[in-house]
Amino acid sequence: MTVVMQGGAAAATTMATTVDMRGGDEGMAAALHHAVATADAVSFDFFDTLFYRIVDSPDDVFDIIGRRFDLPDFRAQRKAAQAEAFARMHKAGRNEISLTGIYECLPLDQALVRSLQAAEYALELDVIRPDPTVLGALHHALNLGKPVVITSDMYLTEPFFKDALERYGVPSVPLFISSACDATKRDFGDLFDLVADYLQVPRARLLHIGDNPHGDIAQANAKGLATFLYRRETVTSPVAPKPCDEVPVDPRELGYNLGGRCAVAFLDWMERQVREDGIDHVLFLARDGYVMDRIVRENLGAWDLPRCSYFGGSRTAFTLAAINDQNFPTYLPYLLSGSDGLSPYEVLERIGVPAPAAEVMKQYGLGDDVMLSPALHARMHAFLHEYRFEIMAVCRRNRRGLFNYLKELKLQRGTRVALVDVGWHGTTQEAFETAVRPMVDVSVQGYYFCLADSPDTARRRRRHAMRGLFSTDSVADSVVRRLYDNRVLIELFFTAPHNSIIGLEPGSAGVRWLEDGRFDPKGELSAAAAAVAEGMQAYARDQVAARASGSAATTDKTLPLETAWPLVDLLGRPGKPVAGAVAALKNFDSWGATRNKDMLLKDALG
Amino acid sequence: MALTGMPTSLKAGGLASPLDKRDERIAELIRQLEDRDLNIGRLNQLVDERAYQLQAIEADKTALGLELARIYQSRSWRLTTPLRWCSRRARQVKVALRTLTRTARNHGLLAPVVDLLRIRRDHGVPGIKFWLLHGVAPGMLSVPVSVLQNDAPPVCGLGPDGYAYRMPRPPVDLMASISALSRSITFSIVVPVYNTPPTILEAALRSVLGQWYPHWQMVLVDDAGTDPATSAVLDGVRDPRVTVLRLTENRGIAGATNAGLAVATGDFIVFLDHDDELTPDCLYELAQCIDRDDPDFVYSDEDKITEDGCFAQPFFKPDWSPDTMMSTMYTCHVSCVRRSLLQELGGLRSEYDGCQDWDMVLRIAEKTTRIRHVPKVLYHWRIIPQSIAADLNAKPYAIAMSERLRLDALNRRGLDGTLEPLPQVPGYYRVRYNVRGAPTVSIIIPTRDNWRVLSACIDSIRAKSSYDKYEIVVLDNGTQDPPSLAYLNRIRGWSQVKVVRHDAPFNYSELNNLGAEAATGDVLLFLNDDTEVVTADWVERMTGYAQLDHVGAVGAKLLYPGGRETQHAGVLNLENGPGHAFWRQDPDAPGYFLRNLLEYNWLAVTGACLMVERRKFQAIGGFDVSLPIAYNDIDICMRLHEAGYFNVMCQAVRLIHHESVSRGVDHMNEEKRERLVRDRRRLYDLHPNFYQHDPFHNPNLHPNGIYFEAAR
Repeated sequence: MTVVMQGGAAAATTMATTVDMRGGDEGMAAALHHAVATADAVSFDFFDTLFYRIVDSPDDVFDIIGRRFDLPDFRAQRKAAQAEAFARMHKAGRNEISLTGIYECLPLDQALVRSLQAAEYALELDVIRPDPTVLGALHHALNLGKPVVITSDMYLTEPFFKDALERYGVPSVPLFISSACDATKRDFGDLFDLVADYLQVPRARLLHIGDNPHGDIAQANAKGLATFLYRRETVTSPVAPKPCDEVPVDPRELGYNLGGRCAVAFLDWMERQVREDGIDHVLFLARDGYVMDRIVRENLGAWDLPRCSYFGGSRTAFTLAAINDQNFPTYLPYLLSGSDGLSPYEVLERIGVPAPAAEVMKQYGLGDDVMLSPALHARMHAFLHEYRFEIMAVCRRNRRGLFNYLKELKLQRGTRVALVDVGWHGTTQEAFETAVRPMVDVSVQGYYFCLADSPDTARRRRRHAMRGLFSTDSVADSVVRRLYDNRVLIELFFTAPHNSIIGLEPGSAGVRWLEDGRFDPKGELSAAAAAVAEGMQAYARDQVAARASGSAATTDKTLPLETAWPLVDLLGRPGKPVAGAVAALKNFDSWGATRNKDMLLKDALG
Repeated sequence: MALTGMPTSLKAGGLASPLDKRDERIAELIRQLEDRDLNIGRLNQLVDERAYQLQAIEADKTALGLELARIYQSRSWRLTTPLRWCSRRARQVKVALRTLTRTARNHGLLAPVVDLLRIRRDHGVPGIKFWLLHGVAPGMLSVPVSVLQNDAPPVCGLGPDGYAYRMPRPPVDLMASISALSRSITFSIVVPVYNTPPTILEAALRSVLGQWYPHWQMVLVDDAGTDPATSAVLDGVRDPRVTVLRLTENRGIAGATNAGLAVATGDFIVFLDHDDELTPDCLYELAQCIDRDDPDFVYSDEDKITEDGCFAQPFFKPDWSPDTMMSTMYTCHVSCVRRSLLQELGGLRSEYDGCQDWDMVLRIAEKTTRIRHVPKVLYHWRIIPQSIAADLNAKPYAIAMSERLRLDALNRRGLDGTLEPLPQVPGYYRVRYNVRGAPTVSIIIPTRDNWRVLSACIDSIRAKSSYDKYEIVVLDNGTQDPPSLAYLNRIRGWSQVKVVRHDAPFNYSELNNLGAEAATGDVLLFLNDDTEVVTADWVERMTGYAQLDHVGAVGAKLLYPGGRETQHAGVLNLENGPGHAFWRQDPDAPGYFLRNLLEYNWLAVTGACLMVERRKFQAIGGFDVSLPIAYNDIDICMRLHEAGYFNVMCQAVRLIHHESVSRGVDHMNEEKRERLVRDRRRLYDLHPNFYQHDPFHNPNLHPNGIYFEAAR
C-alpha cells in the first residue's frame, strides 16, 4: 500500500522525520502540513505527538505524587500495580488496562487510593502541553476540511483527553482511546481498524501521525495506513524546584526565598480555580491577602483573574457584624474564646468595644488586677451580658459598615465571590457568609493556601465551598499537619504591614477600616511584615519577567504545589526554620495576645 | 404607599360583601394573633435573657460562696482577724488624713474645719464619716455608695431608672489618635459660677482636669458671688490652664458667660454649668467629631446626676433636627460652638437668661448647617431642686422665655407662625406655621373597587376641612364593581374632584406619580382611601410646615378606628427595618421626650398621609416605580432627606386610618412576606447609608424599640 505524498521526493508510506525542534520547527511543520494535505483523513497520536509531558519520563509523575503524599516507595508501588493490572487484564481476556484498574491493585487504604488516583489524574493533566507543531498540523487538517481523529494507547480514559483538549483550547475531535475501545495500536493494531472503519476512507489515504516506531508506524503500516513518524526533541522544565538550601534569617530574604514562591504558587493555583468556578470578584482578605493583592496589582495581566479587591475585615469584624439582640447569647462563647490570661477589659478591647474604666470594672470583680481563667468565666459571662448593648452597638456599626462596603464593591445578588485567605479552618469565611447572608445573596467560594485537617474544617467544608492549594485532597495529612504546625510562619508571609481590621465604619467618605491598635506600638511587626512583603513582591516580579522571557529558570504555572514545595521541605527539617529578628517578633496573634505577657513568634512555631 | 399597608380598595377588588367582611375579620384576627405571638416571643426572649442572667449570677454566687466559706473556715483566716481589723482601720485613717490634707491644701488651713462644721450641720456625724472616707459630701459621689461598699459585681452604677453610666477607659492608642488628628483643635470651657457649693464646683473642676484630651483652657467666671466657700475654691485653683475671672457686679448667666468668652482663646467654646460635670472623654469625642466633620456646632447625649449621686434619665438624642429645635431645647448639653461663630453672633443674650442656650442654638442654626451630634453621653447634668434639669416648671420664667425666644426666631426668619401651648403637657409649646399665600392643595387618593371606604374619606375631607382651596384627585386603578364605578361617576361631576383612570397592574408609586401629573396644586397630599379626617385645620397645619424651605415630607398622626390607639406617629428605621413608632399607644401619651406630641423631625412618615411641595417632589423625581407596593413612602422620604430636606411629623394633625385590614392581608402568606423582604432589600440597596440607621433615632436606644426603649 503506497501513498504518494504530493511533491515529496521521499514519497513513501513512512516519513520518518527527526527534526531539531529549535532549529527545524519550520521544516517539520512544512513536512507535516504537506503530509496532511495529501491525505483524505488524519489520525493523531496523543502522548509525545499532539501533546508532550514536561517531565523527563512518565514515571516522574509517580515520584511527584509519592512526595506529595509522603510515600517514598510510591513509584515502585505504582509500577507494580500497573503490572498487576496487566496480569489481571490478560486473565480477564481484555486488551487494555485503566487507571481505576491500576489503583485497584494498590495495596493501600481505600481513601488514600482514591486521593492518589485523583492526584495522578490531575497531575497528568498538569504536566502535558500541546506540541505547537503538531497542533498546527491538526488545525491545518481541520481547515482543509479533512476528518481528524485522536488515538492513544493509554490507561487514562476519554474524560481525561476531553479535559486536556478543553483546557488547552484544542478543537474537540473523535477520540479512539485504547482503554475505552479495548483495542490497542501496540499489540495488533486493532485500534487502527476501528479508526479506518469509522472514517470510511481508503486506508492508504488515511494518515496516522505518531512517535512510536512500533505502535504508531509499524502497526499502522501493517493495517495499510499511511504514517508519519514524529519525533520531538525532549525538552523538559525543571519540575521539581531546587530546594532552599539556606534558612533565611532576614525578613526580606525570607520573603524572597520562601514567601514569594508560596504567593506565586497560590496565584497560579487560584487562576485555574477562578476560571473553573466562574468567579466574578476576588476578595483578598485582609491581612492575609495583602501581598497577593499587591503582586496582582504590580503585575497586571500576569494572572488571568477577574476584578480583585483587597478586602478589609477579619473573622472578628465579620463575626461581630452577625451579632444582634436576638442571637447575642449564642455568641458569648466566641467572645470569651481564648481569653484566659487576658485582663477582662482586653476581651472588649480586642473586639473594638470601648471598655469601662478600671474602677468600674473593679466593681464587677473584674478589675485590672484580675487575669481571666475558667473560674471567672461565669462572672465574665454575666458582665458581657449586662454590657451587651454597648457590644451590640459596635456590632451594628460593623454590620452597617459591611453592608456599605459590599455596595461600594458592587457585590450584588448572584455575584460569585472568591474569598482568599491563608488558612486554616474556614472560620473567617463562615463568619463572612453568616454576616452577609441577610444582606445580599452572593455566592462565596473560599480559596486557601492550606486547609487544616480537622473535624471543624471538615464540618465547614460540608456547608461552605472551600478549597486549598494544600489540603488533604492534594497532599498527605502529614504535609498539611507540617504546614499547620508552622502556621505562624506562613501567616507571616501573608500578613500585611498594618494591624488587624476588627471593625468597619460607614461614613460620608466611604467605609473606614478600624484597626486593632493594641499592640505593635513601635511598628516592629509592621516593619517585618513590610520587609517580607517586599521580598515576596520582588520574587513575583522576577518570576513574571522570567515567564515572559521563557526562561528555563521559571516555575511552572500549572504545577503550583511544586512551586511551593521548598517550603514543605524546609519545614520538614529539624530545628526552627527562622531565627533572628523574625523569631523575636511579639504578639503576632492579636486575638489571644495580652499586655500581661508577650508572646514571641519563635515560641509559636511548631 | 404606607409602610406595609395599601388602600383596602386596591386589594379587595370586589363588593364589600359578607364574604369580604368575613375575610376582613379573619385578617384582623390573624393580625391580632401575630401581634400576640410577637409579644409572646418578645416576652419569652426577655425571660430567657433574665434566666440566663440569673443562672450566671447564681453560678457565680455559688462559686464565690464556696470560696468564701473555705476562707472563713480556714485557720489562717481566724488567726488573722485582729490583723485585718487593724489594717482596715489604718486604711481608713490614711484616707481620712488624705481628705483633710487635700482640703487644706486646696482651700487653706481653715477649710477642713469649715467643711467639717458644714457637713455636720447638713448630714450629721455619719456625713462627716462619709466625707472623710470618700473625699466628697454625701450625695456627690459619681456612683452609688451602696455599690462602692458592696463587692458583688453586677449592680454597679444603676440609677433609679435602671440606667447605668459606665465611665469609659481611655483607648489604648489615645495619644496616637490625638496626634493623628488632621488639625489642631483647642477648647475653651466656660463656666459661670455663682455661690456654687464647693464640693459641687470641685466636682465640675475635677471633671475638666480629668479630660483625656489635653488641649483645653478653662475659664471660671465668678459672677460676683457672695459665698466665701465658693470663692475659696476658686482661689485654690492652681492649674495654669484655668483662668478665674472675678466680676464686680452680677451679670447673670449670659453676661457672665460672655465675660468668659471675651478671654477665651480656644477654637471652640464648650459650655459647662457650675454644678454639672463633663465625662472624661467629652473633649476627646468632640475633637474627633470636629476633625472628621468640621462642624460649627456640636452637641451630645447627656444624662443626669440625681441628688443621691446616681446617674439617671439619659437623653439619647436625634441628629440635627431644626423643627424639633423649635419645639423643645433638645440639644442642651454638651454644647460646643466654634468661637468665631459665637463672636459673630455677639455671644449669649441676657434677655433670655435661663433659656440663653436655646436662643443661641436657634441663632446658630440660622448661620450654619454644619451641626453634628455625638451619640454618646458626654455630660452629666446635676439635678438639684429648682433647676431646669429637675423640672422645667421649676422655673416658670423659663417657660415664658422659651415662648418669647421662639417668637423672636420666627420674626428673624421672616416666618409667619404662632406658639400654641401643648394641651397634654403644661409648659410646652408647638409652633404652628401659617399658610403662605393661598396655594392649591391637591389631595391624591388611589383607589379601586372600594367606594364605601373612599366615600367616607372624601366626605370627611369635604365636611371637616377648614381650608377650602384644595382639589381631590382620585386615581382609579381599574375599578370593576358597578357600585364603585357609579360612585366614581358621581364624584366626577363634583367641583374640586377629579377622577383619573389608570387600569394597570397595581403600582402605588406609579399611581401617585400620575396623580401628581394630573394635579394642579403646588402642594401635594398623598392620602390612602381608607382614612378619615379628624382635625379640621389639618391641611393648613401640614401646609404651614410643608412650605418651609427646609422641610420635605410632612406626616400626620393616624389613629385606629375609635381614636384611642396610634397607628402612625412617625416611622423609625430600625435594625429590623422600618417600623411605626408608638404603635397602638395612647395618642396623648408623651412618648420619649414628648416625641409623640411635639413636632419632631423624622426620617420618614407614612405614605398613607404624606404632604410635600410639588417643587420638592419633582426635584427628587417623584415616587420610585421600582418599589410598586411596599416601602415606596420610606424611599421618597429618604430621598428627600438625602436631598437636604427635613421630614417632619405634625402630631397635632389627626386622621383615622382603617389600616388594620390591609395590614392583616399583607402579612397573610409566605409569598407576601418574601415580597416584603425583597422590597426591603431593594430599599436599602437604594439607600445603603440608611441600612440599620436612622439619624433621628439613637444608637444607644434599643435597636428595635419602636417605643424608644432603653437598651438594657
